[in-house]
Amino acid sequence: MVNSNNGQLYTIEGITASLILLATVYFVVGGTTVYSLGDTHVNDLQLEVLGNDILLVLDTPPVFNSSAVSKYEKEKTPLEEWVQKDDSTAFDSNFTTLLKRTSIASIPGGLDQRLNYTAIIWYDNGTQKFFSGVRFEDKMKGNTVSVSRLIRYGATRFAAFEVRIWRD
Amino acid sequence: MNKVDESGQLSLDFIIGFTIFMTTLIAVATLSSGLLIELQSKTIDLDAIAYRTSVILLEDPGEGNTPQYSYDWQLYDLKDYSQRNSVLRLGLRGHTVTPLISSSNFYMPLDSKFPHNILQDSKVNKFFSFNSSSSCGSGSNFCYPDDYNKKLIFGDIKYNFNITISGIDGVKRYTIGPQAPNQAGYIRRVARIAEPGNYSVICNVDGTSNSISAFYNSDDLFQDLSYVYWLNLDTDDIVINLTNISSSIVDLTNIEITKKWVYPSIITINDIEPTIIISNATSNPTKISGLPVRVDNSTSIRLQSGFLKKNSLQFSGTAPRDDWMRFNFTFSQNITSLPEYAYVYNGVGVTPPHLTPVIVEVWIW
Repeated sequence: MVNSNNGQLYTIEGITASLILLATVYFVVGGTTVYSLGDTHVNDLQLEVLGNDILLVLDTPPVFNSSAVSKYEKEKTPLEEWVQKDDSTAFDSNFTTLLKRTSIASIPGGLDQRLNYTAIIWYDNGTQKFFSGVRFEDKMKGNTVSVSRLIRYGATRFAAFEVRIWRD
Repeated sequence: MNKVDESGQLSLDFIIGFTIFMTTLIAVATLSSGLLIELQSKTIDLDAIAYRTSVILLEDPGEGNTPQYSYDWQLYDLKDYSQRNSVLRLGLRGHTVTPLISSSNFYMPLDSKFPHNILQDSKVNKFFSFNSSSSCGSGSNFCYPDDYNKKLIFGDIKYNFNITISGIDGVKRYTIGPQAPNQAGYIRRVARIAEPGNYSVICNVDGTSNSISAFYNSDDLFQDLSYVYWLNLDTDDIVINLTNISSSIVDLTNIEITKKWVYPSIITINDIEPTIIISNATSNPTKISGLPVRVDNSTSIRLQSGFLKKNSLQFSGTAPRDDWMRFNFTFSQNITSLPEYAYVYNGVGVTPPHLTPVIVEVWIW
């Protein structure tokens, strides 16, 4: 006869108990890993839409230039002007204002300083050039979005103007 | 005496029974974890609704049901119930319809939406001049919030909303709705408003004539430049400013508007809006019935958009190409020596139509 003072389980009880434990652990762990990519996606959408809007606005002349002679000069946009003259200061001040300006009451000064950007030009001859913004790539965060726009560089050349935007 | 089996082995029956039991237990537990899903509150993606609303505002010219002018919902007479009902969507993107203009050797009308994110000034003004009272359905404004829920936000749930347009200097230019709480859906967009500019006529109180004639000619307006930069007489406000009035006792006594191809040629002006409005820095805005009115260097005379449509005098569509419109302002004393002030885009005193960047923000909660 088994002396059952030492608290051991019979075999079948042991197996059942361990299986129930394993099943419980499996369900608990399996039920808590909810992978919500949705939040990141909406942030990306906001930044991407905003970036595209700003490039579109900067790439349209505000007034028709009736005194220009050639068709190219008549249609030249502020963005193309800044790229041709390498005027990154003017671009920076205009782009930053449109990027950061908000009427949210809790943001001081009406400028959302958490947004940052870097602007790079990719020329049609294969070269690229950093143009404006934060220079170092390691400052960018994982949710950086990239927007780009094709602009004219001189009457016959093209360049892709790329801006990468991220939130701190 | 009972035989006690100490071998620690299970019988086959038991193992099979136990396996079936555990399988059933695991299956039931897995299936039952989905039972409570329907009882969770549905989380609505408010950010997505804010984005959708911003797309309708910025990239949709809107729609009304009147066949010829379906994009010009801002010109509809909202006192007429059927016209108010026929406005389907309140989009702010610009649109232009012109008379026959030259393209190579053909004359053809241009019927074209502006590039997206370019908003029409008259649509923005109409959108933000809303009325919150319960009797607004019989007036000439859109009703807040019902018309906006039905024609812009859509959906069965009556969302709260705030739409704000600010300039790049941070000053709020237009707003509708209360301030949003912290957890609202939000989107920020950047757009431009195509503003019509104005015409600052330079007076001369030592002149020989007591009337100013401001002349707007189709040929000068619908030129070979992008239609985004045209002054569209049918849909834009026409603003004329008086400058260089060095006397302090000049009164505006009469306004006449004439148009080619219209017989009798003088158009009746009354006080019902859209109409002509005279503003001074120091006095209340005056309409035609308030004449004569004292004028000075701060005087601005505005013909509201929709005036031509109300009187069936549009420049657009099948109107002939060589069309013109003239304002005749009569004063109480001599005001100029020029027989005519012709509006041309690069003329003296003309601020031509231009695009002004603005920030558009939408909150939904």
